[in-house]
Amino acid sequence: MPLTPSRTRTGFSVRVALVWLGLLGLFVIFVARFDLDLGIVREKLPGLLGFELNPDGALEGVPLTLLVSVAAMAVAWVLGLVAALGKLSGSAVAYGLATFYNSFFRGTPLLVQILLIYLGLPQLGPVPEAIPAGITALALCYGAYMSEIFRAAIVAVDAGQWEAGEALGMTRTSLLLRVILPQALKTSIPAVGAMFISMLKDSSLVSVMGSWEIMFLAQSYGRATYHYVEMLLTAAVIYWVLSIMLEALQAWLEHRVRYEH
Amino acid sequence: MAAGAPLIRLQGVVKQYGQQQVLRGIDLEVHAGQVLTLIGRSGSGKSSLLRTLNGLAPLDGGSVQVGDVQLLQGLPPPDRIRALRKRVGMVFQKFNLFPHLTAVQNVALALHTVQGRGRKEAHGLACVQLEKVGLGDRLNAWPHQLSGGQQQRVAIARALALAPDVLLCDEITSALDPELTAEVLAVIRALAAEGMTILMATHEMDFAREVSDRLVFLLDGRIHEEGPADRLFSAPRTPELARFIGAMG
Repeated sequence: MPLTPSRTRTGFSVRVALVWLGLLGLFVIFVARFDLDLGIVREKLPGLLGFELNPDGALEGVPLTLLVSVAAMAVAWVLGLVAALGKLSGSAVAYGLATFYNSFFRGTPLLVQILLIYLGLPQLGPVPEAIPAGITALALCYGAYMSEIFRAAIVAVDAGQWEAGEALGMTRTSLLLRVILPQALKTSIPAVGAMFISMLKDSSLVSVMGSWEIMFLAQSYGRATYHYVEMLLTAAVIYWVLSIMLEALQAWLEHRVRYEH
Repeated sequence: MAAGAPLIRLQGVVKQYGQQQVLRGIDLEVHAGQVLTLIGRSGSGKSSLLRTLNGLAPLDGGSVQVGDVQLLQGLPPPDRIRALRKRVGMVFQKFNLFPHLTAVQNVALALHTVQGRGRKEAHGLACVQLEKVGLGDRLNAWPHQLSGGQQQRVAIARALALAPDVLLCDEITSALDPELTAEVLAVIRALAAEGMTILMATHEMDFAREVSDRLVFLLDGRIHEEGPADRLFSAPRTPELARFIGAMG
C-alpha cells in the first residue's frame, strides 16, 4: 500500500523514539531558558492532579476535567447520532431541527455558548450550576460536530448493504440498527477519538465560570504566586499526558472492533 | 410445465432514471419452477428488470405481479413491499454480506428480525442452510475470511433461508474468477434441479444455455428475442442476438 510505506526495516520504532526524544530535548531546553521555579510546581502539582478537594469539598483538577469531558462526550455522542439521523431523515421537521442545531452550534464560539447558558438561562428562571452548565454547553457544541462525523460515516456505508437488507425484507429501522450503524460507528472511532481529545482541552473554557478544573487552578495558582509560566506549563503537560492516554484508548478500541479477531 | 397461472407476470414495465429510460415496456411471464435467464449487453436493463421484481427499483409504469402481490407505478405501500420481499430473494454481484457478522449470523439475521424466529431457532436454520451450500465447516467465519465464491454461497444461503418462491440472481459470478464461478454455479444448478424458480442475469453463456428453461435477450430496455435456450443459441432469429452470441463466444 503506497500510503503506508514498508516499516518492516529493523529499527524503525527505535528511530521514531530517537526523533521524539530529540524534539522533547529541544522543548526542555527551550523551557529551561525561562528560569523556572520548580519548587512551586512540586507544591501545586497535587492540587492540579486532583489529589485534594477544593474548599467546598468538591472535585478539582484532573478528576474534574475528566468528569466534565467524559460526561459532555457521552451526551455529545448521543446528540450527534440523533442529529445525524435527523439530517438523513426524510422528515422536514427532523431535518430542519438537525440543520439549525448544527448550524448554530458549529457557527458560534464555544465560549459564547457557555456564557449564554450560564448567564442567559437565569433570565428564564433556572440558575444552572457551573459544572452542569459547562457540560451542557460542551455537549451541545461537540454534538453538532459529531453529527457531521456520524452522518459521513453512515453515508459511507456501501449502498449494497441497504439493498441487501431491504431485499431480505428488513425494515429501515431494523436495518439501520443492526447493519448500518454497527459499521458506521466503527468507522467513526478515529474521528470521535479526535473530538474527545479536542474536547478535553476545550473543557478548560468552563474555567470562566469558576469551576476548579485544571486550567482554573493553574491560572489562580499562577496569579497568586506570580509564577504564571510554571503553572501554565504544568497544565499543558498534564493535558498532553491525558491526550496521549486517550490516543492509546482510541487505538485500543480501534483494534478491538476490527473484524479480524 | 407451463400449466396454470404464472407465478410472475410483468406487464408494460417501464423504469427510468432521470431522462434515461432503462426499461421501455417489458411483458414477461414466468411459471413456478422455471429458470429464466436474462442476457444482453451491460446497460440493456437486465439488472433493473430484476430489481423491479422485489421493489428495489420502483416502477415508472406498468405492473409487476408475484403470486398474489401486485406492484403498480410509484412507491408501493410498505406492507405490500414486505409481502413481496417475503416471496422474492435476491443475490447480488458484489455479495453484499454484512461484514460485521459471521457467516451464520449473516444468514440468521433476517430469520430473526423479519420472520420473528427466536435466536436459537434462527441460528439452527442458518446452519442447515449453510450446510446446504457446502459451508457447514465455515459457520463462524467472517466474510473477509472467505473466498469470493464462499461469500457468494453465504449470500445465496441468506436469501434461501427465508424460503422465497423466487430467487433473483444479478450477475452473481461477475466478480469471481472461473474456479470460484464454478462452485457458485454448482449451487444454482442444484437449486434449479430442485425446482426453484430462478430469474438470473448473467454473462455466463454456457451456463445459461445449460440450466435455463427460457432465455430473454434484452436490447435497449426491450425484450428483443426470447424462447427456449437451445433454440436461441442454435438459431437466433434476429441479427442483434446472433451478433451478441458471437461476441460472447
